[in-house]
Amino acid sequence: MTASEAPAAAGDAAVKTVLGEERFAAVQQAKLLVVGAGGIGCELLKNLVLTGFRDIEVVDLDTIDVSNLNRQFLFRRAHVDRPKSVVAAEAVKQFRPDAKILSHHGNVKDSQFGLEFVSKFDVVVNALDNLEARRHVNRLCLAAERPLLEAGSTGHLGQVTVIRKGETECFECQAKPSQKVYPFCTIRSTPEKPVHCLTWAKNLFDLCFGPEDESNLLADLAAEMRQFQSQEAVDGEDVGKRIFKNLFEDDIKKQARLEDLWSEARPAPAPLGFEEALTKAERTADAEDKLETQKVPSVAQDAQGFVASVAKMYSERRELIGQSSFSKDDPVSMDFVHCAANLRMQNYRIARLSRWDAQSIAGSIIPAVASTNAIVAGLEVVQLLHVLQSKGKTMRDGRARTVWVRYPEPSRKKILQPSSLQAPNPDCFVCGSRTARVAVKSLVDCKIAAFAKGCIQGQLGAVRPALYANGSCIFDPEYPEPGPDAEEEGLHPEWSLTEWGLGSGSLLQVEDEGQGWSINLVLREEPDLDEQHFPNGFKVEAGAGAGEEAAKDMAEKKRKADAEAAEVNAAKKATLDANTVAVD
Amino acid sequence: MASFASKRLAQERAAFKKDHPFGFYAKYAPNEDGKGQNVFKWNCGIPGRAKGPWEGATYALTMEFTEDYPSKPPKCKFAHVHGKPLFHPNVYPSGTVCLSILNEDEDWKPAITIRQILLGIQDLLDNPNAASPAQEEPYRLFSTDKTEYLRRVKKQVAEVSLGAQNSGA
Ligand SMILES: [Zn+2]
Repeated sequence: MTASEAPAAAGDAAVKTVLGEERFAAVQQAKLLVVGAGGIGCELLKNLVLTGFRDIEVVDLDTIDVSNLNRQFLFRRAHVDRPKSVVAAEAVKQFRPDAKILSHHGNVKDSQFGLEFVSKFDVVVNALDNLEARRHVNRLCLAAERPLLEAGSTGHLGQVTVIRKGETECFECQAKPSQKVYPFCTIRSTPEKPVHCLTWAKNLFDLCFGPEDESNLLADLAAEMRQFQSQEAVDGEDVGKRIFKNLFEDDIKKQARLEDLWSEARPAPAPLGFEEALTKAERTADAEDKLETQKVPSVAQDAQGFVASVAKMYSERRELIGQSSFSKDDPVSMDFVHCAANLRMQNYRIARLSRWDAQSIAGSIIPAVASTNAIVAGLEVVQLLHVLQSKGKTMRDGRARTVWVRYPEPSRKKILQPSSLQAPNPDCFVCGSRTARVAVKSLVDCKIAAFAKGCIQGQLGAVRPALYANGSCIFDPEYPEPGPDAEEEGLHPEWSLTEWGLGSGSLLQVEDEGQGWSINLVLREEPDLDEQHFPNGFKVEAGAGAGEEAAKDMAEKKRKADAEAAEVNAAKKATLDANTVAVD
Repeated sequence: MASFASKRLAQERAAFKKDHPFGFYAKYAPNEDGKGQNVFKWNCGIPGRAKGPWEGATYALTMEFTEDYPSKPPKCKFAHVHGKPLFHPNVYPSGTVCLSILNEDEDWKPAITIRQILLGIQDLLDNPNAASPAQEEPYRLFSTDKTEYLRRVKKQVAEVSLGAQNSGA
């Protein structure tokens, strides 16, 4: 034993005492994939190696930023700009030099981390901060039939759960609340809350100083804004005043004239001229001890601030006009958005905001809390131990739980709230449907139309299958033959699976438009496929009955719905009969 | 990979193909690179209702969905006519339709089908909502001078029937 191994070995002895021989052996043999090496990931990797795990691969897309250093404690200033996965692996290897830790600097959504990659591992542990990647890993683990430890945190809230195909809810069984998108009409004509005005102001900044963007909520004002901005000779202050007059005075006058829109409960907006704004210098009484940025400015300050921010864009950043975009951390764009939003709030009689409040709403900032991440990462290891122990029984019969982390309030003192794992939602669009696996001899030679006909109709029992991959429809039964019509629709029945970007591990969604069912399909290339037995060049390896079962499900659902409808009708009829009798 | 949203959209597409109201169409927009079709963007057509002021043409409209569909409604946008927004009080200068069933905070429900959205917009053409003006001129004429409003609508119908609306893309 070398000196450097000694601390790890000493630690092992302690852990072995806590876990017991059998569980400790399982820990040492387990092969883990950790996805994410940021806030939760740093804590998690440290916990894992100190618990005795020694066969880990870690994937992360990011490089280290200075702003990470306050809570992602495996990273030091010298590591800035290096890949998180690489540095985190190096750091925890120092805790345990005998551990085999492989790092991958890349996006988990890349095809190299597909089904075959994930299948190498016993358990996948997520340490991700965005929904999209979490959805992706969820689907990968369902397809690869690997248990997944799922974790997330926002501010003081966190959650850890265990997902296993067919046994528990998957990440997408229940709809997740997502960031609120405000309706267009509210933003454009009838704002009621500060956030509506801030959304408007963010769009305005991007419209004035960003690249052309059709999807900007104010896109139709682009021509007008360009007109103010195009005169080369004019200075920024002049542009600012013109925009001011147009948006906070003239446009509001027009809006106010739309009489049907306004009532006592919703009074018409009040136009605000620049000179008039400058006379409104009074401030609301804020507490003395507040910082200047935490106090609400006067209307005059907002008006001056707005014009000044436009002027600054022209004097200091002229070359960036047309390619800037709003960022809460950029003081000039934040000034612009804060002042513009406040002026609009003044128009619409909404209480204006301090710079501080505006910034936190505009950036939807929920601070990352290091201690929440640490608690979450600790809980993941506890749940991971339960998962390793659950061999031979279903996850819901074991000790694994969903655990919520909440901020302790006087009314509920507990920080942790465990609850039992839930059964999968049979109607879940992700895990509720059937999955078939197909081996294809050559993806380059297999044409999509032939695949649809031979494999999906012929062997999986579809009647009119449409095929989808990566959010695109790639085969429509209305266009089974190549030709100009199909081409115009973006469809190419003669293209091979490779030409459609499909590889080993790719997932296809099959929608049988004839019978109304849908299944998932996982592809695998198998060059050695025996031609005598499989002359078409593909073989359904699992889930040959997937279509049939999906169809049975559909029939059962329909039967139930019909029965319920019949019951409701019968009940209605009975009430009707009863009423008739009463009337008679 | 298949998401909740894309599966629902695939089912909507299958349902619409099977059974759709006369004169309407709704299909995926081809991807810009010509490789396949974008499940999240649909090109649709809404015919003016028989005997109504908009009779005589089919109006091109795009629907844009997000991964949050069906929790959130699609954004529906009429194609411009001769570079100008469709002449209707509830159509914004950008072409976006302002309708309560398309508003998450109002009457949108995840169960609303694409067929129902299209029928709802067809109905809105004939029955503008004076409480949510989106375009100044049509709104003003609609509330002050119905005869002139209807004359302008007729003119618009004639233009669209002659192909003045860009394809909907
Ligand atoms: Zn699910």
